[in-house]
Amino acid sequence: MDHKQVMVIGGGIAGIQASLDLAEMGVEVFLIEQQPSIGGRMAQLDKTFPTNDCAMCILSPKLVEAGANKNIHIITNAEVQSVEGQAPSFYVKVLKHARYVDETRCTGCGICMSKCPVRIPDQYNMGLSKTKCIRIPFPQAVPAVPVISKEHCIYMQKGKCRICEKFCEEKVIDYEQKDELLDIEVGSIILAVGSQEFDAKLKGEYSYGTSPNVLTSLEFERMLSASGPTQGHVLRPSDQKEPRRVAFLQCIGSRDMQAGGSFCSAICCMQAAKDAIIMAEHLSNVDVSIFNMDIRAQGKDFDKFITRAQTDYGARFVRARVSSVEINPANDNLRIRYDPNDGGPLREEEFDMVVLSIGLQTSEQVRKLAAKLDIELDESGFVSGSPFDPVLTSRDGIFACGTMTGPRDIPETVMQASGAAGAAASLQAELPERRIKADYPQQRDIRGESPRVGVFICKCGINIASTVDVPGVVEFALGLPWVEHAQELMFSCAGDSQRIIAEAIRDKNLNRVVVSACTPRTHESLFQGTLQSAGINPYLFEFANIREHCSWVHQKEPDKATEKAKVLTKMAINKVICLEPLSPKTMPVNHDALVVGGGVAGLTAALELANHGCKVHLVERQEKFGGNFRDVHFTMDGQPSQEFLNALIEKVTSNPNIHSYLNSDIAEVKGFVGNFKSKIHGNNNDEITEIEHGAVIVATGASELETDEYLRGREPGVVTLRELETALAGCGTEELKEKVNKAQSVVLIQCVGSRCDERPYCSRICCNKSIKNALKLKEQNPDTNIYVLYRDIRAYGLHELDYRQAREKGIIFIRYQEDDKPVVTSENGALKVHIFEPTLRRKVLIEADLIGLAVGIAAGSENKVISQMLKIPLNSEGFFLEAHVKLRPVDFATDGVFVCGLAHYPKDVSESVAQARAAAARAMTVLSKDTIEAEGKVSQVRAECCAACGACVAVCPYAAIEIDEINRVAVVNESLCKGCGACSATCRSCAIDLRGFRDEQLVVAMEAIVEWL
Amino acid sequence: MTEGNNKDWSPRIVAFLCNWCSYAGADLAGVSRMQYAPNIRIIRVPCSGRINPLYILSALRQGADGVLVSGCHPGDCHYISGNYVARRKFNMLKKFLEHVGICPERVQFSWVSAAEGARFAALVDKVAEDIKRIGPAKIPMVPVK
Amino acid sequence: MKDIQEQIIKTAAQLLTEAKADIVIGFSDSSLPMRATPCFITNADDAQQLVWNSYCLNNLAIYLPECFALDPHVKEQKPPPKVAVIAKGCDGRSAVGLIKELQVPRENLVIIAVPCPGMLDATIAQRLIGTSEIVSAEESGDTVIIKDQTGKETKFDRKELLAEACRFCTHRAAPVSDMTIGELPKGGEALAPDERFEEFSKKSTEERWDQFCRELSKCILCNACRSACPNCYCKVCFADQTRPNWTGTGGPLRDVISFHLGRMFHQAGRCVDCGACVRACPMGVDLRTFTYKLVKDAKELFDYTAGFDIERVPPLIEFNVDDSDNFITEPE
Repeated sequence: MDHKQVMVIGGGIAGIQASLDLAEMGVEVFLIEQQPSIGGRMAQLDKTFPTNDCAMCILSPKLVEAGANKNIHIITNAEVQSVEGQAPSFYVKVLKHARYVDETRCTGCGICMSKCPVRIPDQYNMGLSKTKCIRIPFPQAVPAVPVISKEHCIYMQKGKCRICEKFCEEKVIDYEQKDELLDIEVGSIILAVGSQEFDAKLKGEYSYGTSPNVLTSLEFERMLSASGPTQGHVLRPSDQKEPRRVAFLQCIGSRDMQAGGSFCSAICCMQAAKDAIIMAEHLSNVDVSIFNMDIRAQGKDFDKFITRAQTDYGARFVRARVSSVEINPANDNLRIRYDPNDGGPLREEEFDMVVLSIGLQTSEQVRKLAAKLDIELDESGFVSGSPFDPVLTSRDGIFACGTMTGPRDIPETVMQASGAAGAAASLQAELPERRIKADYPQQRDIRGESPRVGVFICKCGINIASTVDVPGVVEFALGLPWVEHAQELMFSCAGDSQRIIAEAIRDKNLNRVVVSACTPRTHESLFQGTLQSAGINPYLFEFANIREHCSWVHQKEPDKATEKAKVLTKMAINKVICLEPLSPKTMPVNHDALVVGGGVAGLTAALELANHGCKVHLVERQEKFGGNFRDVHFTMDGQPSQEFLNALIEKVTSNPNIHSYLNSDIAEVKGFVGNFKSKIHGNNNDEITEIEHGAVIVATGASELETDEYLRGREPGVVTLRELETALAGCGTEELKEKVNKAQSVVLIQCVGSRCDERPYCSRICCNKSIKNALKLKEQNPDTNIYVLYRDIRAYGLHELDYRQAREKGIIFIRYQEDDKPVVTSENGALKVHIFEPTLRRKVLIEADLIGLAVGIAAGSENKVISQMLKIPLNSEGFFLEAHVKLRPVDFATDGVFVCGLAHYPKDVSESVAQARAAAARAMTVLSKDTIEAEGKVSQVRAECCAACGACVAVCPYAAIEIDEINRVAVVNESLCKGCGACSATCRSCAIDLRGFRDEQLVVAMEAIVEWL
Repeated sequence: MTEGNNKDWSPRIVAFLCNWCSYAGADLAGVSRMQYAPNIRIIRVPCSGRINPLYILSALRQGADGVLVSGCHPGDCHYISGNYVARRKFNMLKKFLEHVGICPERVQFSWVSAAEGARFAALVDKVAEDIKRIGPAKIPMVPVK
Repeated sequence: MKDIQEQIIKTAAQLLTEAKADIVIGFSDSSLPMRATPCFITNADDAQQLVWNSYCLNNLAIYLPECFALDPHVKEQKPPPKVAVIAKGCDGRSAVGLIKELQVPRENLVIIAVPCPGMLDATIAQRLIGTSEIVSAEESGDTVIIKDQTGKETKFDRKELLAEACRFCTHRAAPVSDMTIGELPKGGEALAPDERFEEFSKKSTEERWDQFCRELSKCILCNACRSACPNCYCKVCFADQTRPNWTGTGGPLRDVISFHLGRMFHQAGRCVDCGACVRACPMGVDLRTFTYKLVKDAKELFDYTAGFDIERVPPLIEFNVDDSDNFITEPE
């Protein structure tokens, strides 16, 4: 290897994110995917919680980006055979299965698919609809190349057919294609193969497979999707009628010793709530019941989402595990039987449809891969690295991320993916990066030339030509002003067509090009490259979409389609005439970083950046590093935590790349991505240090809430969990230690200051912390009676195993309702807890020697200052609000600023570490570069028209515009502008315009439309 | 004047679609071969937030029979908040145009996601039907007296 | 009002003497009856020229941006002047808008709030009198006695002569001020009901379109409405631009319509309903029937009334995730 190379195994959202981050850091990536397209599970989801973002809307740009990135080699339909060597030098054999289509030449026109006579179940739609034997797996697939399913192909099975081959214009069908064995050398490996869903057939009592009206949550997801088998209409499969009553059964194959896994799948509660909301939006008259054991809404804004599902959409949450689902033969309805857990008899209810919330579990693929790679799995079959650092595996140089490390949602998956990418790249810090610069000829200066437009009309085989009169469009185009050249092409995207276009540009001295073909969303960059290869600025190009928007949607009206194709082409010609050459600005990048906050998150981020070779300024407000973690003394399995922390601090303080500033605050931050200037204020000596840096990581943490609930502060026997843990670890006051040692009866109360009106969120870590401390208490004194009073036990994911252990050890869990909280009284220091016990259906009294309060986590008060200084937003609870809750969990809309740890939301140490690694990796995508290139299509101010009213500043989501007070004019920072155009649309005097989408360009396009008669 | 009921009249509809959701939704309608009315001409813009109300007025001035604007569903904006800001403008503009007597069918706004090919097709059909029903644009071309 | 006038003169003189203001913008007497003319006092001795009567109709905020505009001919800009303005409710509201839109630095502006009784419009009086020119007017209490060329005296109730914007005005005191003179009206009830707008709103779409076209066909594109509007401070109006050309040649009515729709919509969430555009129009185009819709909708949709709160962001440059979606077409 002469530069950094990483293999990413698995092309779901985790693998894609890791690959994109690596590529951005200048690492060459081999992305291996078993399926014929990348995308993974996320490509099948309809919406994503808790924002109900459309999954495909946010995923598909990533697919396109990964497909187009020159640093990423996507190898689909492939699996890893073996891995030899060790870090940082692995030799991997990859078996690429034949897809029977030449990937390098296929244009993805899809004609084969339309002609193939064999229909097979469509896996993308979970078998709920049919596709063809030769097919592109789903419309947004990358690569958009079909695959033949050998076992279904008539020709390959019976020797006759070859229809796809006959219709393929490019002759890329190859029935003889063989599997291929590839040898690839890489410095490190990232595993991201995900998990699989529990097979609902294993739970026979729920009638899955026997009643068509019992669906799995994934099948239901496809049904909800507008691109799914029913186009988003929720219909009962047995009679295609809209269901009136729908039941979701939670924990199918989760929290279950008999089938599936005994862990919690962490995502299903939210998925069910999401589905309930979406369904209620689709069907006005539907009643949804969600049968659950606990509602696990432990993530950011999750609780509010659950509340919305209940109050705004009428979802009913029933606290019960359903024992059986029986078919009512009279009407195909489903009878559900369950124990209501209130001491009463079993209940029965009838529903039109039942959705089984199937759990996640490890897959055979994971087990096989782990065996081949010689990495350890835990008892549940998930990759188990360090309890503090989830992206590590048992083997050096191999990292893991996503649901193969345990059940988790998309943002956690994305954090781990970025974190793994950073770790994999820093391992090869000494190797050079790979910055691909295409070798294009110098661009011709077209200033002063009148427009000379070349127009290329694509037939796309017969995709366009069978509906649109392509020669007619060519002739029409030739008659338009400024058009010097027009011709048709069989496939404009094929290699020889690129040559034809480039030659035409040179031969006819063209200075502008229009291609009328398919969608610019996937093909624009290809043709821009063609222009560059012919020495023309790539922005002098315009696309007309006469396939997706014309021939395919007006197949029965060829005349109208032809007329429309002419107008679309004329629009593009009108626009291309007004286009101007653009050259994106480049700005130098300062390679240093500023990390604010020296808790575990800040320390980890700083260390990771230093490992990449960056100089880091690490600023901590307190006297010592460690933050909240200084009060965490042991892990769930009893390992001492402070050793980990001390080792981390030691690594940080001894690292020559890291400058520590203890007892210090940030006084000022100025500048923007790549070019920040900040002032650090030393609180002891009042000294100001000025630094320059290219990125900022915000890791300011959060704090334990102050509370006076439950006699806290008035009774020495009422302590916080933090104090209890300190005493249990043998630290803290002698008095408390004695109290803890002698306690015969301990009550732990959950949700103190969390999930209430002032803080309508779950503090995420307290349930597990209580379980951990309860187990420790039990271990130290097995005779102690321990009661945990809770609302929902949120032992999400693998924490469920500890919850189970706690119950097995005799720790008693009693549920209380928010409106009927436990009451603590004291009679001369004797503590009593009064609580309503739901199964006994009466109040009970617990005498307690010690009461531990699971106090919630509150956002840091200094967040507001930081937020204003860095122009980054806070949510209503005072935590930092990331750029996108699903796919950009550590970024901000403001480039070059990243967040991790408790500043973002409460989380445990391993999650903080993963996020810190992610923040460092995302920062490295900036810091590893010498220059950053702005977008070409950015806003531009015409100073002579600008009244400096500030409207553009207000609407810019990226803080890219400022008012120059002296010259009274708006100024665009091109490094920050993303080209959305909100400023331009807001400016009353049209003083700010968007290059590439100028007002004039859009108006002349419009003229072509209205003039067409 | 463009007024009058020309038998061969077929509405001319200008559509502004954001690149990331609605344009992708229109692409998906195409990939899925959903057939819809051929009267629509799509102008791609990066974001619904890029759409200056003057575009809509300009389209009407030039005699478009209808204008359709579609962006990402609220919350889905690729540019974080573009469609939220746009939503306020569009809401006021639509009510204002109605107030001065421009048929509400003439200028319509919708949200279409990248997964909603069918919704896009249905939307185009609905807008085309609406405009066929209310007839050609009545933007007066007569010179001022 | 004489009393107020005295105080205005005194205050202006004092501000200028103490260098708390470099310019005081107010009204002086006009040579025409029932009119007052905006004036700029820079010298304490000239403060005597200031008047306060029922004819101080103009929106003085129109002059504010100009006071703070950069001089394009010099490199070293002079420090911005301190400007004091005699502010009725409408002047005050416009000033707030201009402060928000960074056209006026708050710290350089002294808003002197004065009580506005609702101003009288000479044009309305002339219309009521007929063809004979007005020569003088006398006020006593709520009665106005107008003498015309023929020597005839006609008695009017003050309300009959109120300028249109004043009839509907519900907040006749400047919402933000640095000094107040006299007792400011509390606002609240409008002096007259807003029948014309209501009637128009009730008409059918077609009737509204016909009326809109009829009104605008009177327009001669003289741009007086734009020149009179304190919000129209753009350096180059969109309508005067050529790339692209938003409003055509101005020949056909559609071009006139597109100019007015564009200009009016640019007032969305900003118009303070001061009536300056309507008063300025030489052809009597009833713009307010259309612009008031924007004022009303800003209130109804976003609970926003322009010109009140300096801190509050204007509605079209901010958003709320829960904003209404009720105008969205649902295809099914």
